[in-house]
Amino acid sequence: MITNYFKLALRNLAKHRLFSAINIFGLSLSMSVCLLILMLLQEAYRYDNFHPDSDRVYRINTEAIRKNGGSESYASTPYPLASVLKQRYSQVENSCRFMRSFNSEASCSGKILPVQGLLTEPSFFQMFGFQLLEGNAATALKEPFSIVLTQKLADKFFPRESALGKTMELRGIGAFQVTGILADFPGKTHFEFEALGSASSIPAMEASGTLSKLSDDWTDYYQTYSFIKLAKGASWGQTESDLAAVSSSMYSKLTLESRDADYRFYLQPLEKITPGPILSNSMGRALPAMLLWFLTALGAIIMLSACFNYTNLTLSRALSRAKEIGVRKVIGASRQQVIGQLLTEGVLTSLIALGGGWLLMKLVQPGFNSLSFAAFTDLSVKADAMTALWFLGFAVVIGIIAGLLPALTMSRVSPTAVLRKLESIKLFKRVGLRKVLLVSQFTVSLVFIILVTVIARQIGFVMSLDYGFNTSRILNIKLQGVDPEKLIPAFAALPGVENISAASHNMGTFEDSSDDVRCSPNAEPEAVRDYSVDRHFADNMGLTFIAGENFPENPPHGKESFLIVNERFVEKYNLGTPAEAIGKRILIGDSTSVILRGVIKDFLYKPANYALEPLMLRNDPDYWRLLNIKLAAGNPASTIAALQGVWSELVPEREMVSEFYEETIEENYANLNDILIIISFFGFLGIVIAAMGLLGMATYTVETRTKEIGVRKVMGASILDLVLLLSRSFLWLLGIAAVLAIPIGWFLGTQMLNIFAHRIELGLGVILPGILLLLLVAVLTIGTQTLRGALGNPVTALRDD
Amino acid sequence: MIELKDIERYFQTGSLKTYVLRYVTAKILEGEFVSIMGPSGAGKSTLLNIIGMLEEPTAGEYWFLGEGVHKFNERRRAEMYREYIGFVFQAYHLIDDLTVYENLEAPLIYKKVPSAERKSRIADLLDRFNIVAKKDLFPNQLSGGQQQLVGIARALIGRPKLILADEPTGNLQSQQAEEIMSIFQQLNKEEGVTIIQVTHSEENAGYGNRILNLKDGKIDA
Ligand SMILES: Nc1ncnc2c1ncn2[C@@H]1O[C@H](COP(=O)(O)OP(=O)(O)O)[C@@H](O)[C@H]1O
Ligand SMILES: [Mg+2]
Repeated sequence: MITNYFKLALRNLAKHRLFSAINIFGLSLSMSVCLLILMLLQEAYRYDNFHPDSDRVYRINTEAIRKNGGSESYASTPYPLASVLKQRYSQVENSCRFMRSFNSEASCSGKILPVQGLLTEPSFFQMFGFQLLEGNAATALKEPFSIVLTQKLADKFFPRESALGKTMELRGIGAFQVTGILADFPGKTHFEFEALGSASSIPAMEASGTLSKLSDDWTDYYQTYSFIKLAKGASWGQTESDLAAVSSSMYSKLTLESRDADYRFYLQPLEKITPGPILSNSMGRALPAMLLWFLTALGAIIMLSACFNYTNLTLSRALSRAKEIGVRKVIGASRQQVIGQLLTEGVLTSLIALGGGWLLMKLVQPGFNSLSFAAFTDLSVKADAMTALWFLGFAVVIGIIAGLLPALTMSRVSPTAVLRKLESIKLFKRVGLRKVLLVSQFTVSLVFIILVTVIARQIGFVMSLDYGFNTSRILNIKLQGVDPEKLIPAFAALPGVENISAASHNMGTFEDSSDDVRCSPNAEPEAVRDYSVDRHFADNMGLTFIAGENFPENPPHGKESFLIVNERFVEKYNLGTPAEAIGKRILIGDSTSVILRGVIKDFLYKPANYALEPLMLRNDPDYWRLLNIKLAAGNPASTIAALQGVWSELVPEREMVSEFYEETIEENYANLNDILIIISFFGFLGIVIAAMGLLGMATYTVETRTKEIGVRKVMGASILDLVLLLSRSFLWLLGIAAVLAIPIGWFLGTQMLNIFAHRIELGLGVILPGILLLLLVAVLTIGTQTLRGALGNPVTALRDD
Repeated sequence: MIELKDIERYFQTGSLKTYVLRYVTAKILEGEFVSIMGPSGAGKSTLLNIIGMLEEPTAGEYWFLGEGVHKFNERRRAEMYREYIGFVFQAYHLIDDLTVYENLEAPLIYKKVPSAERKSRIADLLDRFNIVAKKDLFPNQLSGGQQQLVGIARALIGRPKLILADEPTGNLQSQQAEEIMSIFQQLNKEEGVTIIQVTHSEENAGYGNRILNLKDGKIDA
C-alpha cells in the first residue's frame, strides 16, 4: 500500500511542477536552518552523560537575594557549605568541591605556559566519570601540592616523556608534584580545566597568603563549585530544606556583603547544567538553553511558514481533486486510506525537501560558525545513523504537519462528488482558512522585518553613541603583571606616542568592578562602580573637571588617599554642589578613607545597556592592569611596531597584547550583531517563503479565472481593471497582515530596546520602511501573475471551453 | 437483495420542493438483471444513486441484504463499495493519473488483496476484455469504448454481488454498446451477478430480464 501511495504521490508532484517546486524549495530553505538547529540541540544534550549515577549528582547553586529586591543566581557557593551538608545529613552520600583560584602560569622543563586549573578533592574520581591514564585515582588528589594534568597539557610541558612525578612551579601559588595524567574525556562536559590541584593544599596556601582565607568563609560565594551525590531514593526537596536549615543557622550570626539580604541554596541536576539557565560564575562554554530555545522557536516559525505554503497550495487545488477522491471512495476507499494517500504526498514532498535542505545547510553552516557564539559549539556534522534518523523523522513529521489539513479536508469529500459539477462542491476550498494562513505568514515576515530594522538602527545608534570619553587613536596594552613604571618612560620616549595613562580595566565595556562606599561613617554602605587610574587618565580620556582637580603625583602602592567622582555621585549622595563636595571624606570598603579631590562632568562610562550611575576614579597602582597609549595622528603601524620593539626588549618572556580601544568597544555588541544576523537571516527566509506561497496562490487564481478574465476583456475591461480585480483580495490580506504586524513588532521591538538605557526612539519612521519594502515585494509578485492573466488573449481563453 | 419501500426524494430550492421520486416500492432479487427506463428527468439516475447509497431518500425505507441502509455510517458504506457494489458510470470516471492497470488495481488495494492475487485477477480481466495491450496507457490515451471497458473491469475486479450502471453505453457507438451489453448478460448468467442499469434503449433493456418503468417519479406497473 505504501509503495503504491508513494508512486502516486510522485506522479502528482511531477504533474504540478510549479506547485511542487514552490513547496520543495520553501521546505528545503527552512529545513536547512532547522537541521542546523536539530544538530545544535543534539549536540547540546550530549554534555555530561558519562558520569556514574549522574541522576543522583547535583550542583548546589546560590541565589543571592539583594537588598533592592532583586536576586542573582550563581553556579558557585561558599566553600564550607558542601562539607557541612555532608557531615550533617546522611542522605548526602558524597560531595566534591572545585575551587576557582587555581589559574596561574606554570614554569616547568624550561617552559612558561598559562594553566587553567581548579582545586578539587579526592572524591572527584568517585563522583565523576573522568579516568586516569597514569597515576592512582585513590591517591592522586590526596596529598597537599599534588596536581593532575590533562594529557594535552602534560604533552605541552613534556612532549616526549611521562609527566608523572615531575614538579611544576605555579607562579604565586607554589610547587606541585604531578600525580596523575587524565585520559581524554569520555564525552562532552561543562567542566573546564587543564589541571586539578589537590584541595588539601588549601590550608597551606591560606597560611602562606597565596590564597585569601576561604576555608570557613561563608560570605564568599564566588569561589567554590559544590557537587553532592544523594543516596538512592533520597529526596531532592528534603535536601533543599536541609540546605535552608544550614544557611539560616549560619547566616543569622554573620554580616553579609553590603548588597545582599539573604542567600538561598538550591540543587541543579548535573545533567541539567548544560544546556541550562544562564548563571553567574558558570563554568564551561556551552550555548545557554535560552539561546537554543530562541533559535528553535525561530526555526519552528519558518518551518511552519513553509508548511503553510504546502497546506495552502494543496487546498487551493482541492476542488480539482474532489472528483478523483469521490471516485476512490466509490470504488471502496475508506477515509483513512484517502488520508493516508494525501499525507504520503506531504511526506514525500518533505523527504525530497530534506535532500535540498541538507545541501543548503552545508551552505549555511560556515555562516553560522562565524557567529561569535558558535565558538561555544562544535558542529562538525557527524554522519552517524542517529543523526540520519533524527533528520528523517523530522522530515516525516514536517510532511505530516504540512499535509494534515488538506488530507483531513479533502478526505471528507463524499462519494457523491462523482455525480456533481465541480463548481457545486463548495465545502472544500477552505477559503477562510487559507486566508488565515497567508495572513499569518505575512504577519510573521513583517514582524521579522520590523525587528531587523529596530536592531540594525539600535546597533548603528550605540556604535555612533558619544560616550563622552576619548577612544580614538588609543591603543590599550595589557600589563600582564609588568610594572607600569618600567614601561611608561620607555613608551613615552617613542616619537609616535602622545600620551600614556594607566587603568584597572576598560571603560565602555561590560568589565565591572565596584566597592562599598559610605559618605559618612554611619551611612549604609552602597556599591559604586570604580576604576583605578593614574593621574594622566582624565587628560588622556578627555574628561572635564567641574570642580576640584586631578590626582597629584602617583601614590605609593596600596596607599590611596584621593578620589575623583562624577556629578551623579555628588547628586546621589547629597554632597551639595560639586565645589562643596571637594574635600569631603569618603569611606571605601572597610578600611580605606579618601578625600574627594575632583568632580568630573558626567559621561557614559558603560555600554549603552547601562543607565548613568555614580562613578569613582580611584588612584591605587596595585590595580593597574593596562596602559592607554594615545598615538599621534597618521599611520599607527610604525608606532605599534616601535611599541612592540620596546616591549620585547623589556619583557622578553611574554608577547605584547594590545587592541585599539574602538575595536574593544565594538566587541561589546557582538552578541547584538549575532542576533541581528540571525533575525535577518530568518526574516529573509520568511519573506522568500511567503512570497513564493503568494506566487503560487496568485498563479492559481489567475489560472482558475482565465475564462472570467476573457469575458471581462471582451466586455471592455482595461488591463488595470483586471489587474486590480485579480489582486484586490490579496492586497486586502496584506493590509490585514500589516495591521497585525505593526503592534506585534512594536511590542517585541520595545522589549528588545528595553535592554538598553540609551536607545533609539521606536517610531513609524523605523517601522514603515520595512513594511513598505515587503509590501512592494508582495505587490510585484502578485502583479507579475495578474498582469500575465490580464494580458492573455481573451479568445484563446474562451475557446478552451 | 434490495427492498425499497415508499421511497421518496425531493430537492428543495428555497421553499419549493420538487419531487423526483414518490412512493417508489420495489424488490430486486439476487441474480436479476434489471433495466430502469423512463423519459429524461424521470428520476432514473436519482433512484440508481439511492440504490448505490450515493444519495439518501428523503423518506421511505431501503433494505440491502436485509440491513437497513439508513443506519449505515461512512465506514459501513465504504465497506459496501469494497465488498458488494460495483459502479459503472456514463462518464466512465476513471482516475486520470493512473494507468489502466493501476485503475484496476486501486479497488483491490483498498480491499487489501495481496499483491500476487491482485496481479492474477487483473491479468484475467485484461485478458477477458481484450485490453492487455492497453494496460500501461492512461485513460486519456483510450477511446470512449475502451475507457468504458476499463470502467466495467474496474467495477468487476472486486467481485461484487451487484453492479449499478447509469447509461453505461450512453456515450458509445452501437457496436461498442452491444459488446458491453453482452458482457453484462454473460456476467449475469454465468456468474450470477445482479445488475441494475439505467438505459434509454429498448434494445439494451432487452439484455436484461426485468424492466422498471419510471414515470413522474413513480414506477409504472
Ligand atoms: N442535486 C439536484 N438538485 C436539484 N434538482 C435535481 C438534482 N439532481 C437531480 N435533480 C432533478 O431531479 C430530476 C430527476 O433527475 P435524474 O434522476 O437525473 O433524471 P434522469 O436520470 O431520469 O434523467 C431532474 O428534473 C433534475 O433536474
Ligand atoms: Mg440520468
